[in-house]
Amino acid sequence: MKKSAIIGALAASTLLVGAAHAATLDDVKARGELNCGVNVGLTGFGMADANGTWVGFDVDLCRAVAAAVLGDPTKVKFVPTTGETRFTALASGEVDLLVRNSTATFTRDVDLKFDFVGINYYDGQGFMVKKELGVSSAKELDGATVCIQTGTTTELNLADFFKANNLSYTPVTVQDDSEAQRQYLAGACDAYTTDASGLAAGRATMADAENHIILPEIISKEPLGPAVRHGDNVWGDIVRWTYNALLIAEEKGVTKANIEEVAGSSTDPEVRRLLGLEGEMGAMFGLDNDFAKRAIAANGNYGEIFEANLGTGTPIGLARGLNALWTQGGLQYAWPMR
Amino acid sequence: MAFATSRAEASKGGFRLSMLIYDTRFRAITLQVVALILFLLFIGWLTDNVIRNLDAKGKDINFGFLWVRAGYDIEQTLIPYTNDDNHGRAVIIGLLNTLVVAFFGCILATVVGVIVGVLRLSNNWLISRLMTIYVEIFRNVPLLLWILLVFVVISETMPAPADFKITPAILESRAALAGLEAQAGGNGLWMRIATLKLGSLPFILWLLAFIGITVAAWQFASARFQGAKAALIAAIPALIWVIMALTVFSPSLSGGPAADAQLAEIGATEPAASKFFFDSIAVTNRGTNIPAPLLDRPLGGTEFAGVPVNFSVLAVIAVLIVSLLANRAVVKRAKSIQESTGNRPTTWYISLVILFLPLILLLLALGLHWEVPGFPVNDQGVSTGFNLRGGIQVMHSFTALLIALALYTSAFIAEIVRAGIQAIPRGQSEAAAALGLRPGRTMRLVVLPQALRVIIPPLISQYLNLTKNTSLGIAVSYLDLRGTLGGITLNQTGRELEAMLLMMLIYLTISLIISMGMNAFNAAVKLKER
Amino acid sequence: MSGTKTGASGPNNTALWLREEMLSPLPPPSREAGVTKWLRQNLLSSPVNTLLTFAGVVIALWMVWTAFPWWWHSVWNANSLAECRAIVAAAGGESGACWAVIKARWHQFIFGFYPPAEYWRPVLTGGLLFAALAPILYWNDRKGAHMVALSGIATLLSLFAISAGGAALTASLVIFAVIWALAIWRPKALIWVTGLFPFVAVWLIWGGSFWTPVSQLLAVAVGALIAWIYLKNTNRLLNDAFALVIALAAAWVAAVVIGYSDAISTDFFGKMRDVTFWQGYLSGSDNILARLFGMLASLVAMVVIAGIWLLLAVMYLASNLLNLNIADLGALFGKADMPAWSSLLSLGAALAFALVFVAARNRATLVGILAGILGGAAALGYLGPILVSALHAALPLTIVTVGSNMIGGFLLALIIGVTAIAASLPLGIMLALGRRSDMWLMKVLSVGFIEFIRGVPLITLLFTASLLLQYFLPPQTNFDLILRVIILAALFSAAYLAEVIRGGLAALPRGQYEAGDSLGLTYWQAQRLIIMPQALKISIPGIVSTFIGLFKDTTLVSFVGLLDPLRGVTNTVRADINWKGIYWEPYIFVGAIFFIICFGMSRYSMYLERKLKTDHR
Repeated sequence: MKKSAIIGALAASTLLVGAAHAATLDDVKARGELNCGVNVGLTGFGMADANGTWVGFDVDLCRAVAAAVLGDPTKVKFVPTTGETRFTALASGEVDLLVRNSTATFTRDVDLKFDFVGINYYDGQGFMVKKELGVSSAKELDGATVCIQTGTTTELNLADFFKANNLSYTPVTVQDDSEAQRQYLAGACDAYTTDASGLAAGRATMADAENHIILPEIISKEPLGPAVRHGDNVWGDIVRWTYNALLIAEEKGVTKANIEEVAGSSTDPEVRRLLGLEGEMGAMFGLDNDFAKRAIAANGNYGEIFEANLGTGTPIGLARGLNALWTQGGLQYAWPMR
Repeated sequence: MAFATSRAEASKGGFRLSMLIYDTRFRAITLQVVALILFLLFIGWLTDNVIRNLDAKGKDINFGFLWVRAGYDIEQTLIPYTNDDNHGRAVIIGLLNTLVVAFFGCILATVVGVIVGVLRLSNNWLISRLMTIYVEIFRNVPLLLWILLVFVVISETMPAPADFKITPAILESRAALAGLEAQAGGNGLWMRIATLKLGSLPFILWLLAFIGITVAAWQFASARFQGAKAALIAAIPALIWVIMALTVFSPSLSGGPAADAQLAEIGATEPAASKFFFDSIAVTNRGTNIPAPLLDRPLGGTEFAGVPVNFSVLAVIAVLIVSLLANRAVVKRAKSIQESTGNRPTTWYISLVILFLPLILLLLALGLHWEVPGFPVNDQGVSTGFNLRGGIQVMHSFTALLIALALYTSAFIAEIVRAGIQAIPRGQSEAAAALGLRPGRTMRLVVLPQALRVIIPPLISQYLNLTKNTSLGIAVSYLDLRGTLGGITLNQTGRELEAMLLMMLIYLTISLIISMGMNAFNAAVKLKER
Repeated sequence: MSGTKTGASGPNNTALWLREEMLSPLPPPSREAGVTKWLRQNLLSSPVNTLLTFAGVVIALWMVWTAFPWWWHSVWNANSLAECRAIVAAAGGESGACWAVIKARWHQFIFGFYPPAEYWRPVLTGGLLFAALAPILYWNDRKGAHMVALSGIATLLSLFAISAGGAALTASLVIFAVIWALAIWRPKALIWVTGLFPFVAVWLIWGGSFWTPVSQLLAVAVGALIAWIYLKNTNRLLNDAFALVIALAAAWVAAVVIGYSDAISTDFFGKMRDVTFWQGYLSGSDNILARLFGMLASLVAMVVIAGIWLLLAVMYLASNLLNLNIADLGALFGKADMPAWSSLLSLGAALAFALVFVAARNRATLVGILAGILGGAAALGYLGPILVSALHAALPLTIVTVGSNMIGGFLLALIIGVTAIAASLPLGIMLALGRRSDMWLMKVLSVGFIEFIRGVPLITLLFTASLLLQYFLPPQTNFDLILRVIILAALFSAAYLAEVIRGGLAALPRGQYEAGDSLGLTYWQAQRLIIMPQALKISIPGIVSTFIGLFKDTTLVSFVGLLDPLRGVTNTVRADINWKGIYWEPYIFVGAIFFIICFGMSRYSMYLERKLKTDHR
């Protein structure tokens, strides 16, 4: 069409960045940069440090994908997204990949047309209360004021839970995690509810952590994972298998430190396939064969990423729990790479 | 170059194409037709893009989501709502929340703004400076910051609901106190005077206020009375202030009885926080609990289009309207008597009776009493639950938004009022002074009515701004239209196009209604020139 | 003074005794002099005033007293909030301000995530902004040079403060020295600096190849050259040739537009027949309201589409009636498969050709400007990239590219505020003129736009930028969120500026318009030479206060995920474990900076107002 000439002239202005929907991989390669949607600031999962460097569990997955696709884990443009803007950012092509502790649900998959290509964190919604309240179960919260973070599935879970147990409550709908924690600490609400990981992270960083308890009830399933747009299966596959590669690496004991050594010495065929020494895995979706090796070398395997950002060695101090490998009683079960 | 603008030339040559551009008779039409074509094309282009984008995403424009179960709860609702209601009702709840905060915000902002604006012109050096600081501070800092700050201040300084609770420990202490017969010192008058904390801030503030009241009373009295009578009259407010110090303010001014080892051991016998205003209003860090009116013999009610209609409220409103009409008739009659005889009959007591007696009688007939908020108490007398029950709880999200909006807007209104007053020629107030009006009456009867004409047009746009600014309520968890329709509903349904368009439409309608109403008011008070 | 003799030595003096010297006046009673008088007059003049004074003192004292301990126990050196609290507790305070967080993170409040090594770039841009404003505020005036010098010194000091590299310092020094010299020797030429500033600013902030702004400038120069040659040319033949080219271009554009609108309408009518699309409106539920709503929406859509369709149909009919099947022009535009429309295309194109040709032969200014813009855009679109890559290959002058996602804090607020206001000024003028226009349609469109924008909250427009623009632009257009926000902010402030400028226009006496008419000036000449200079001058305070309002409102961009200083950066800081739970200090810091900037600007606009008033009377 001729109108493309006009639009072409317009597009020549320096700030215009074209982004197509169909072939995300080509776009990312052409751009030389991965646009990754992350949380505006959630301790442990995605936040910027004093130097403006993004760190966190979700952020490291973005870096691994960038390493796999572009060969350089620093070639990521992190786009902070709010609860309201995240899915639009993904749908409109503003980001190529959304790793913003988003719960995979039916409507998001089917109606909003996204693919959750893996579950990098199995979570569930819980409650935190002050010890002095003397509450030991969420079912004792009748009449309580509860702080919820908006823009998530938590409002609905909370309403369902209280309805199912025939309890009443007053919701306080807060926009972001730090404000919700402030209100909770100031006593503006009796209980704070969000994903259990967020509660644990919040509690661990409170000045008087011993005065707060997390109640035993987990009222929902929250499979959090990276999301891509429907209809671009190659790109979805790349993200999926980058993530699986990180899991396989943990299963096989391939770490950031020993990866070169393993690559030189290993005779395990699956490890050799993982590291691109055997087979033509990467080439099947348009990458080179050591894409997985680069992804692992970026920040280590899944276990290393977990330990570095959320694990017991960090102030957040989360145990692996459901997110342990299946061999250790968890749910993380990578598809075989063959 | 051929310019075919002159009539003679044009009529000579008949119609030529160039006349479409160069003939002033046709040019306006040509330009408008071209503009219309371009505008319609632009609209068409947008529509086309929307359709193609929706196609590409496999979506459609569907407002059906408004009739789907919402599933989320809203902390503060004016009309009944549960999570089983649909998104449409949640939108209405949000709209009502927007309107109620905008309504009270406008009133509060106007009151504060007029006071500050007038005081800024005061010849009191200190007050005019303080008001200038007030205006500049509130005008030059973003509203969002004020909203956040007010909310943080309220929620961090007020006591938690738990502080109102009677705990088992308190009951034990009370029992122990009852057993302890000899109460050392007591809490008598002498005790209070003896334990005044002379160096403390409350006492210094009290003393300053005492000096101020005494001086003002002396100024007032000495201007009107002579000698001992003046001194006597001047002493009355001072005496009242001293009495207040020993009664109402006593807890913060006096130290209380000297520490007694036995008493200290017993511990607190009252909850850490207490309710205000005859033990009826509780301010916690979550909200303000106020008594709710309850009727023993209500008239019942029905529901109209999902909105509950209370006949008792309708009855009260009807009685009020009838009273007002009756009062108007009385005043009208008094006026006609005044015009025919020159004497105005005294009517204030008749008005008082007409305005209030029927209402009081009605409320008595309905059996009005107040439901005071408080904690439910179990059979041991210990408070249970997390929050005060009963009464009406006004959440602090509302209060903070209201205060911040009102203070911020009042700074602008103050400037408008100041400019309006300054626009009135000095001659007007001088003329009023020449007629013997006092400064207060001059302001009320001469200056403000004239200034109003200058004030109202910019005031309208401030009201509009305030209404639009209520959309920042989500920053303090206030679920207004933006929080429900543009927030949770949008999030849960993923219908951003529909939700945002509907939201814009609603805001636009509100704005247009406000400006239409205020413009009508403006036309009514405008100087009628003949 | 009082030393004169009052006639005592006069010849006709019959008095027995006359005072020869005036007595020196007694001092006023103590209550009428000095501090007492001042107090009585200013603080205690009436009972009400006395009460107000003491109430003011009590309130002020109470506020100071309550806040004082917190300020007194300020901590400046700590690595975390916990450390801060420990220091305060050790000093025996109950609570204290922890300014250490500002010390640790001030750069993020100012620059967002901008790479620290590149801080000199925004600083230099800020300094250049003031230098670029100098000729606008002080046209052909020595004060312009002072302003340049001041901003230069401020820039250099700021560069020292952020310990910028020697190269940046030297470059800034040289740049400001050159501008200053220009301001001294050729004050009028300073306006060229203003013209260059936008290009340089964009390059400095976002980085990239130096040749990008150069090629953009070249394109502008090409456009200006085309317009200039066209408007100044007196050769008849050249003029006709020019007119021919321009009219051909216009015909081409008209054909494209008609072809495109035809495509729209066929698409749309196809859609309308497609029941499933309309089901969307109606299938919501059995609820009567849902149906009414759906019907209303479809009605509005149909009216608009019908308007377009009607226009096309009229043109189509006319072309058939006139049987103007000149040539199958349509085939040229990829419309060969629709012969019926090709005649319409031909007609529209011919009409556009004729109108533009007539106008162009008469050297209409508007045509010249449009030709310049089109030529410039073509140069930029087709030649720009080639030129940039060629020049880059020859001499790679590049600074580090900084993505929009790195920009935050007050830098972001200023970029959005300044760009939006600058961009909205021309649009605001157009809207103000449109609103006062005699032409009904122009008036309706302007009023509609202004009232729509002023009727909705800014936050909904920001959501439009972040959520809805993707629907209203052609599929697969996607550009920077900051740019989208700037565009919407510019539209927002344009509506407010239009009202400000309308006020300025209304304040001008009718005589000014009539004088313009009597001189035989055209509408645009009168606007340019008589009306606008005066109206804009009157409007300056209003424009400044609109800018202050917009600048404060930039804090709302945090709602769409941008890093504004108030919530965006503060939340980022609070997500850090070390600073979790800190509230007052960032708010106070950000509020104080906003206050300084806004208060300074409002004072400056009051000064301008006074200055402009005096030369009016």
